[in-house]
Amino acid sequence: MMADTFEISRVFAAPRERVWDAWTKPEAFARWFGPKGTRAEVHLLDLRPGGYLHSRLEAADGSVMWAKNIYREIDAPRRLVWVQSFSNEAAEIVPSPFPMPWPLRMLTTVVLEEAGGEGTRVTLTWEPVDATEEERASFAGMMASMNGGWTGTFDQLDDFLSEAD
Amino acid sequence: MEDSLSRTLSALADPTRRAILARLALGEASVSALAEPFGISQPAISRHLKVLETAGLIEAGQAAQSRPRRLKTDALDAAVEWMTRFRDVWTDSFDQLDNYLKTEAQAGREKE
Repeated sequence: MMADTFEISRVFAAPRERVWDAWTKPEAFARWFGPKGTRAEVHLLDLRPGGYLHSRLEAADGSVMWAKNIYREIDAPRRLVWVQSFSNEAAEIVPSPFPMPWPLRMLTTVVLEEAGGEGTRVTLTWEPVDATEEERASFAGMMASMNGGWTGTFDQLDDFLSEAD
Repeated sequence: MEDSLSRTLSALADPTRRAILARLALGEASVSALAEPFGISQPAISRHLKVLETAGLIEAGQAAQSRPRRLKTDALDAAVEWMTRFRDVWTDSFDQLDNYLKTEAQAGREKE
């Protein structure tokens, strides 16, 4: 099943304002954002439509990635929308590091809802913006592989490499 | 490390070079055999091969005068590493956010 949109949703045991702060305050965001085993640094966080978040991720092996999230909608403490891209140190948007077609821009929508007395439900969706069919297929393939172990990711790379022939 | 990764990425950004890698994934090949399917000159293909070699994605064999090119997978592995990290970015981040909010709540109570 190939889905064009990735979605993740979870309830956090904290009031909505605190969860909102964790997403929008640079020192807080850096504390938790990033793939396991990476260290995040926030170099700029300008929270206004058209402003952006510029962050650096460093893996344990010393390799580094930069990301740029350009904010589109800010509705505290309910909704945060940005367009996410890989970038360089100068905050210029660059193509993905992946050896296959990949969307240059991803629309990221974060919705925070009160979850009764339990805390705050956070739902995040991710979808390619202005992507070619090939780029969308790569994205859908990789995100679908989240449930199928590593195989899917490597199959995707394999498919791409053999199609390019 | 950052430099070598950047080199890998920019080498991979070109469709002809990706197609060369795809061909070499099937086995080593001489420069003229690599040039043939693209309908471009041998000097042009040599320039692409040079970029791939500098990025550590391929190497030239010592065998025969044609020095057939073959794939080196280490540089590609680094790119694939980021791919798998990226795939899990939100699941991992949500786990860490959960921990962060709990630790912060704990610290808040201690201060009170």
